[in-house]
Amino acid sequence: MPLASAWRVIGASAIGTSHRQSGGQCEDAHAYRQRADGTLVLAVADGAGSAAWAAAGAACAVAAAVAAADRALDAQPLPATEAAWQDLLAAAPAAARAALEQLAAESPAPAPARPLAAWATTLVLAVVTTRWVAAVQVGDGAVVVQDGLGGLQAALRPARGEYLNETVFLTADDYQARAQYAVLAPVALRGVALLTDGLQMLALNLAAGTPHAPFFTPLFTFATGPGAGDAPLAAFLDSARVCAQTDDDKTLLIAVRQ
Amino acid sequence: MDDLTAAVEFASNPDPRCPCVLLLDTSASMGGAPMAALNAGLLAFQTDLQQDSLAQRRVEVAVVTFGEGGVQVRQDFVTAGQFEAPALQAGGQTPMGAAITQALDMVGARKATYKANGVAYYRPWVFLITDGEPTDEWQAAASRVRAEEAANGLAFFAVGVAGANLPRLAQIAVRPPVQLAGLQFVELFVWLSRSQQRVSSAQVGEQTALPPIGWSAV
Repeated sequence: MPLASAWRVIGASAIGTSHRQSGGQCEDAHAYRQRADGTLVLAVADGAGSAAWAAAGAACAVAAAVAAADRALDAQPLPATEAAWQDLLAAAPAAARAALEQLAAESPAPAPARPLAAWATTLVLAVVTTRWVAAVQVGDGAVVVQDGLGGLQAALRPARGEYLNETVFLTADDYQARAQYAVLAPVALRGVALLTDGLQMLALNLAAGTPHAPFFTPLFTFATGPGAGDAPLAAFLDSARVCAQTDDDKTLLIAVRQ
Repeated sequence: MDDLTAAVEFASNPDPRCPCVLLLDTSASMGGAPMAALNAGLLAFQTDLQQDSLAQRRVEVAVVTFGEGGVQVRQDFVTAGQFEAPALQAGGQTPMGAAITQALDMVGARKATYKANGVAYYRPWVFLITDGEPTDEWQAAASRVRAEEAANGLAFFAVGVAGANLPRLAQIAVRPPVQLAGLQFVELFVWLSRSQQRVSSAQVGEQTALPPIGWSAV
C-alpha cells in the first residue's frame, strides 16, 4: 500500500481582475483530502458570475463533494472497473447539490429571494490513486493528467452550451444527465491538475480540446521541485502575465507523485 | 514565483466572437434627415466600439440594407476594429422579408465558420431598424426569426423610426419592438455599442444586463 506522503498537492484560487475592479470577491474554490491509504480526492469549483452567493456556493460544493467521495471510499474497497468508479463518483455531485439546497433552505432571506440558482457553481472532482484517475465534472473546467513519459491528456474538458457565457451548473435541473465522467489508468501516472474556466484560454487548445504542453509541463515540473507551494502558485495566478490573458477568477489544484 | 511565471507559456486561442448584424432600412422614405441621422449613428457606432480594446477584437459587425438597390450586404462580418461605417443612401421599396432571410443565412454561415475553426462565440444579435413595413413577403422570414429565438439561436431586436408599422414588427420580432425617439440614431448606436461591449466581456455563466435604453419614445 502506498504511503500517505506519496503525493504532493498544491492549490490556489485567485480573484480575477474584473471582480477585483468591481470590488467583488473570488468566486472560485478548491479543496482536497489525502486519505490514509494515499488515495487523493481533489475538487475545484467556479461560482457563476451572475449568482448572488456564488462564492459560498463554490466553497460549499467543493467541501461537500470531497467529503462525499471520502465517505464513499470508506464504504468499499477501491473500485476495479470503470463502471464501479462512476458509481462511486456520482455521490460527489449529488452531495454537493444537496448541500447547496440546504444552503438555500437555511438562508434567512424570504423564499422568493433565495432561488437555488443564487448559489450556482460548477464542480470538478477527481479521485487519484497510483493507478487510477477517476473524475466527474459538471460544467466548465478541466482535468489534465501527466503520465510517466511526460505525456499530457485532458481527462475532462469544458462542458458548455453553444455560447461562451453559458454552461451547466450544479443547480440545473438536469445536472446529473449533463455530468461528464472519465476513468483513466495512465501508464506510470505522474501528476494531475484540476482547473477552472478562468484558465481555459491559456491552458487548453480549445479547438482541439488538448492540454497546452508549454503551460502544463513547467507547472508539473515546478510542483515536484523544492520551491513548490501554495503561495508561489497563487503568486503565479495573480501575476501580470496571467492577468493580461484572463480577467476571470482562476484556480489550479495540482497533485504530483513525490 | 518568477521562475514559474517565466517558464509557463500560454496557449493562443482565438478571441471569442460576438456577431452582430445591422439590418437597416434604406427605402425612399428614409431619405433626407433620417438617412443623415442613420449615417451619423453608424459612425458613432464605429467610434464607440473602437474605443474598447476587447470589443475591437471580439465584436463582429455585418451590415445588410434593404431599399436602395434592393437587399444589399454592405458589409460582411468584420471585427469591430476593422469596421468602417458605410455611407448609406435612400431609395426604392422595403424588401424587409428578403433582408431578414439574408441576415439569418449570414448568421448561420458565421456560426458554422466559428465551429469549424474552434472559435467560441456569444449569441448573435440581429438589429433591425425601419421606418416602414415590408413590401415583400415577410411571413416566412418572421417564422424563421421566431424559430431561431425559440431555439436560443439568436437575439432579434426591432426598432421603429417615426412612420414604422410597429404592430407588423411585433409579428416579426419576439421581443417587443421599440420606437425610436425622434432621430436619436447616435444615442441608439452608442447604446448598441455599449451593449455589445458588455456582452463580449461576459464570463461563463453571466447573463449580461444591458444598459438602460435612453433613446426610445415611451
